[in-house]
Amino acid sequence: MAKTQIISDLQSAIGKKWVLYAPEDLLVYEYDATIERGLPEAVVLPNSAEQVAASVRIARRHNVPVTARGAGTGLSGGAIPCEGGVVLVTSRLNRILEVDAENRIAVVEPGVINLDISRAVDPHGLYYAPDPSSQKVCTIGGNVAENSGGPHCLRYGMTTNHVLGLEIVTAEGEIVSLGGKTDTAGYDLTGIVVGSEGTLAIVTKVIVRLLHKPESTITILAIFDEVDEASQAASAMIAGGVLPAALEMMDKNTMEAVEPFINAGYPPDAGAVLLIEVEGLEEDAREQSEQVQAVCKELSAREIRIGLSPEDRERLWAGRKGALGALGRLTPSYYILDGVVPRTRLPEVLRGIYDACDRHGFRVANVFHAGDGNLHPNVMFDEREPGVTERVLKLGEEIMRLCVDADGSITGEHGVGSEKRSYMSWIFSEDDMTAMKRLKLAFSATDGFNPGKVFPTSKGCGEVSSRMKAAIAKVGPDAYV
Amino acid sequence: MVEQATLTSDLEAIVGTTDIAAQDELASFTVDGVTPSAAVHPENAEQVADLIRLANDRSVTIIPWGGGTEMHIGNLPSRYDVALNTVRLARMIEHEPANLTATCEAGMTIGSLQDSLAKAGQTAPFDPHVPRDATVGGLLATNASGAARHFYGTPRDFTIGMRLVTGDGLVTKAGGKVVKNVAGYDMCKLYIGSRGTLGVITEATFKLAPLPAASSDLAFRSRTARDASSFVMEIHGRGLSLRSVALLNAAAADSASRRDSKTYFLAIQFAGTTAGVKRSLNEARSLASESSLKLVPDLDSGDACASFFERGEGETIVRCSTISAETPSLMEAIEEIAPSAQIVATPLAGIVRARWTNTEVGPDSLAKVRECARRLDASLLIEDCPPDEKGRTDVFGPRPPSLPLLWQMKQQFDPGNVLSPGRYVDRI
Repeated sequence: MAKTQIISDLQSAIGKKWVLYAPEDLLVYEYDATIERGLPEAVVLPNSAEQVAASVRIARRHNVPVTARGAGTGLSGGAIPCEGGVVLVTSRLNRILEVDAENRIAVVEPGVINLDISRAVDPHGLYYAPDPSSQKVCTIGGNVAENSGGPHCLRYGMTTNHVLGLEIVTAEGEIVSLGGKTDTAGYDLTGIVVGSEGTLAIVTKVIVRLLHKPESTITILAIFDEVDEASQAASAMIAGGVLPAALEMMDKNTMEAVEPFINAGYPPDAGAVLLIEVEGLEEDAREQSEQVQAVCKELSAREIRIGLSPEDRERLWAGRKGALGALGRLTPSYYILDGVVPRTRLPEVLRGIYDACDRHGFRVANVFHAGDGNLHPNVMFDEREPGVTERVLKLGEEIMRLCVDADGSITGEHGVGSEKRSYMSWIFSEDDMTAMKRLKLAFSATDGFNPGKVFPTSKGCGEVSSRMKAAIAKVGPDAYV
Repeated sequence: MVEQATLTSDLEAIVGTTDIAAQDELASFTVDGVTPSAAVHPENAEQVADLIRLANDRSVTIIPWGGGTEMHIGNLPSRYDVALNTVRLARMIEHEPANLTATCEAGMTIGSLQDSLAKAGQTAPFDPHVPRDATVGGLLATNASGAARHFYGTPRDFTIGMRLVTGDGLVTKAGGKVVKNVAGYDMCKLYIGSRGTLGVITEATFKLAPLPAASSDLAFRSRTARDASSFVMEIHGRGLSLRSVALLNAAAADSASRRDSKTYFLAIQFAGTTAGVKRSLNEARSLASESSLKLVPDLDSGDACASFFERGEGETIVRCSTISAETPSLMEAIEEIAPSAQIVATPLAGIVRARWTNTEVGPDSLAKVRECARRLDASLLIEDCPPDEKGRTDVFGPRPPSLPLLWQMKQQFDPGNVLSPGRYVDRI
């Protein structure tokens, strides 16, 4: 009865066509890039901030939560409605509202695809810097919620460094603007909402900063015999005063998976490759490229390949970009982990990860953002094997522990979601979390947006076992990291 | 009213008798004409927490104090009993060059922080022209930036971790020591720029930047602000190694005795690789020769860039923020209202800072400048003005649309209203 009422309220607010409630329609919205599931009771596809606000007010009146959803490419279950309720899909809020090339600013709606911003401003010689690997499909709204990174955030920063202002709908259903094209008075609520995983507000407009495209970009692929040498080279470069635009690493297992499909030409006995990109003025790129090569040689790189033209650079990146897809062809399932350590701790933590995987009897492929110390071990397994999921998750926990013990963090770019809530206490004290809870209370006394995320709670997202599966990615060529 | 003798003995019980300022030193902690009854120098976060708890118990108010370089910014304090000076919280905690990060206590001065990092060829990307005696905590509390903002961003962009004691004495950590971290809410963002109204910052961790291998200055004269601004946009668009940009009007240039008093003065600093800087210099010179700009030989641009932070007694100072393209219009409009105003702007970040001696301009100049900023969609912060003017107006300008959320935040983090009361937006 109550359910019928909320559906008809939503229908009269945003139109019959844009409210889904038939079970077969809802199924499409119960998942994201994790294997977690959570079925919403209704899905709304609003077309304006006013319709978002109206939907939020209706849900509030009926006492059901609202979970915002972009493209559903998230890797921490951020778009999964753990406690049911309404899923609010931003796909119709997909307009680029303004491109101000002279002032290097764009105003977009949350459903705009990340790469579409760069495409739209390309004629002006500009681009939007944060480049999560899913940038061809993921939305800016999702990027804002998760404070997404990407290979080039080593030099240019994460989403939060490129968002100047937001329009949000609060839990009370009010439309409020935060920040703006110019400095504004008051606490930096824009910076707070970015990365809040959809728990504080629903974003209806994003003001982003654009950058001039660099004059010159050089891609360098350095092949090493040992993982240790490659990770030492990564931190030696940075200590030596070079801050590349991107500094990525792939280990032996990743290369073995990639080679048959991509034909990148990785030697079968190599231990690791570094993929480094330097950019700027031609002179800067050239000088940095020389410095990078010198460091790699000093640390016994066996081969260095240089890409100057867009085609050559694309070829060097092909192995990195296709890595997860290739892994998917080797193993029925894999568990994508996301941890961060200080760059200098990479060699020891990587050793620890290989040890732990050996002990638990799993193969692991490491493909990650070495320059940031942001690790993505991908643990390969077969989900059909009885009891294997629990073993993989136990291993994952052990790897997270290694990161935390090395002064690191439990997530660098994928988010806490429901998967890592229980690890929050490993890095934050009760008082630290009290401060976060207060911040949430300042936004709303209710738990109306995306409940069951970020904070450890007694309520689970489904049963414990299925909740813990959250981070196990679906296998296939469309997976990103 | 707080009983002076018991307050002093309670404070001494926390920090000891040597870490409390003598009566004759209190005047140096004056804020907007209000001198506190005491000034204390805690040496760790626990003492800061004890002091804040004492303040809550005894209904005493505290204003955190770093280098004192930006204390004139803010509304009149509604009450001010104790200055909490971070001078003894000045230790470098960790600097691992290969991590390109550093952690230090909040009372460390920018000068000593940068000196220490420079030994490893690194820098904390605070604006290179901020006063050396400003502290890390003070710059975070104000999110201060200047001529290099387009290059380094503001402190919010490179601060990755903090320790802060909330207004009710919780000692909390925000962020961490890694450069990429999305665990939990990004609390650093809330604290940076909160001007001592939510908590007392005791420690911070930064992403660092390599010190540029080369840097070089250029200066030009320009007849109009617009020509200078277009020139800056052009060289920025070409990707030249622009680190700092300061565009001074004639009055500002004249005051720093940069000779010519009828033209705008553009100071530019290039920084980066040796080859990149060399090309930037050549290209900028050649571009300028095709424009109306005139090269000024042999000039150091450093003091021009530092003028974003200069101030004098009896002055009104406003800092406006606009979109890049409107920078020249805003400069010209302010000059028309207050012809003697010294104005410095950075067209790339859209910041225009104007200062004038109160006795030299009409009494309604400030109101007119405010109105003009509003017309141009610029925001305006009054950094300094006569105290009676502060009593009449909110220096932060019109109430922002998020005001109810700001009050909620204050309520959550400083429920007893003991930290810098009255000084923030809407007199929070």
